[in-house]
Amino acid sequence: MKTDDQLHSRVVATLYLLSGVLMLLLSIQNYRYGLYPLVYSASLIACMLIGLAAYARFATNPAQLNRAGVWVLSLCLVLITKDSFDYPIEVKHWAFPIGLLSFIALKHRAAMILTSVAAATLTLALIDAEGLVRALSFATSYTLLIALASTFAQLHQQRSRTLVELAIHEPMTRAYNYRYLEETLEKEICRADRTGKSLSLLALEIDYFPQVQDVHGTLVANDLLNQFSETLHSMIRAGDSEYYDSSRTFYLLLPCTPSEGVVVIAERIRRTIEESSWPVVDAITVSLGCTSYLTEARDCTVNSFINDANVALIEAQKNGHNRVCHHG
Amino acid sequence: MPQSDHQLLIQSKPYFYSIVLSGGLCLASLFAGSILLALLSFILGLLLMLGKLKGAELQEPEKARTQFRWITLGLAATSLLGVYFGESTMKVWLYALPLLIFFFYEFKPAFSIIALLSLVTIVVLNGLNSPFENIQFIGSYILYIGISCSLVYLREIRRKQLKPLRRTDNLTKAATQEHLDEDLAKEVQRSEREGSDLAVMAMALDPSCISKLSQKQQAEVNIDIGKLLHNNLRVFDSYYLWDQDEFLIVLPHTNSAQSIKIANELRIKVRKEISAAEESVTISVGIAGLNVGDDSKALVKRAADALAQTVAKGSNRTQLYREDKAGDKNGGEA
Repeated sequence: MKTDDQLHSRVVATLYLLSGVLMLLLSIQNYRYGLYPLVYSASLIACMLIGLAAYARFATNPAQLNRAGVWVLSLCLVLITKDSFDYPIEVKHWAFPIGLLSFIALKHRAAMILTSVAAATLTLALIDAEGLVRALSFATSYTLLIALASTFAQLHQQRSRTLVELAIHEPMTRAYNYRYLEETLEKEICRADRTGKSLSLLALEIDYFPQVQDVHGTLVANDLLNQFSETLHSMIRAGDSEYYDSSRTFYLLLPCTPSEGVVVIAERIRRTIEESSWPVVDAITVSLGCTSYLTEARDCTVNSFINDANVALIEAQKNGHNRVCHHG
Repeated sequence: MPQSDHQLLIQSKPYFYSIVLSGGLCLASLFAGSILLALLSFILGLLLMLGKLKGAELQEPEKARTQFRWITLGLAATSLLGVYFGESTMKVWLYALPLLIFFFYEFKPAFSIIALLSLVTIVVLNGLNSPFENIQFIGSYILYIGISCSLVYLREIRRKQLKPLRRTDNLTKAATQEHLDEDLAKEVQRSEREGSDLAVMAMALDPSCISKLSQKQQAEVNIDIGKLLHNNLRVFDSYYLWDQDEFLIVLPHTNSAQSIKIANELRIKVRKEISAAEESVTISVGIAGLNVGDDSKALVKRAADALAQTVAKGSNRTQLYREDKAGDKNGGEA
């Protein structure tokens, strides 16, 4: 995800720079032709865009860049609207690239609002300056531009979302995958450090799952995993998340849960699984290992945390399965 | 994906507004007395409307694309004509074109079309005497094209990322055409290495059926055929949607005689199980077997040739490709 964001912000930065340079050239040309008021606005827009490009180079946070982009682009459009009273024929052309730029640089919603407002105000200004026919001609073209650009942007967003979905989910159980567990855990540990609230991780396995696979075959075992995953998903609270590591261990990440809480939840899961009836295999049991991260113990990394949960799980299995163990 | 790209476009609100606005423009210019602008904006509105109606009807993205390509070219011609005949207000229409072209054409042809279009635009603009506006126009236009290129660049990256994940067509479950060449080349190499046979079938609805069906029904029949193929072919066979209504089927480890048998079975199954407009549907099949030294393109072409030959001879037939054009086996009504 990081590289994708980087690529996007690099493209946006390049575009700001390109727009800035072209607006600068425009202002020089306008100077040569003697359209002095346009020189001022063009060079002002150029300066703002080049400044934004420089800012984009150094801004680390995409949200900051986005916010700056909203301000600068709306300022550009205000300038264009202002000038369109005096130079309607010339200035309206500037609105097209700026409008398109906003669809790449900004969030879809912001771009949509910005360009719609710009289209409306510019059309009104042009009605005043040029007459209804020309203003309508502009409005037609501009709405068509908005339609096309917003479709492009939406498709891009859709595809990005699909990509992310595919990247963080485990295909069989539709739980999150192990990679995403590591990623989230890093964030959550950091957060627990900051807030001082404890964080718990549950590792659980279906007891004697390899035997289930041997006896009933992979298909039945996969179906069972699917159902099991769904059951787990229905039992955790909002804010908790479920992961599957593609071999046979499920993980539940429970933020803001102290060790007493996690044991209670684990026990409830154990009993529910034991008491429900399952297709084909009829009854299964689970072993659960849980661990909690208390902020006093400073030496906790992602790997050691997952390892603790696994150690607890193995202990539970050693002690005879179908039980909960707490470690650390 | 529930809806294809073009449907997202024509269902968007701004698209609808632009149709309404072009209607308004037509009326306004009529009242203002400029007949030419009224006419051109009428054409614009008509083309956009046509896009909306046709696009909603067409399910297959490829077919809709060809429709929209014509509409796009029509729009380009309209706006250029307008600018040429001195309606300088129509210059603003030129901005919509690059995005439209990028939307409906692949990257490379789109690029050359836009280059050509820009050239024509500049020539047309040279004939007009409004230097002040032209400076702004050219500057903005160049910037605009630069930005739309980067928009397309981002799109292409996404496509490339998603391509390996989404191989098959949503409706027919056929693998899409882009994979055909790649896969077939791999199969050819494999059969050369292992010394096994390989056959390629081209399959299409008979012209007599096509003429009876509307486009929508035809699309539905294609979906049914896709399902039938999905259920009846062996797992290691693969099939592709080719030319919108032709299926291409790759059969590894199959010699010509076996493939004729498979084709005939499929033909009978289609006739029995698939119907449209209360009539059963027939297909014809052309087959090409792999010879020494063939490459994937030649194979596909020979299968398509065999199909063309069998269609020329009549409907509901299977034919094996022969150099001397003569040989048909197991032809006739089944």
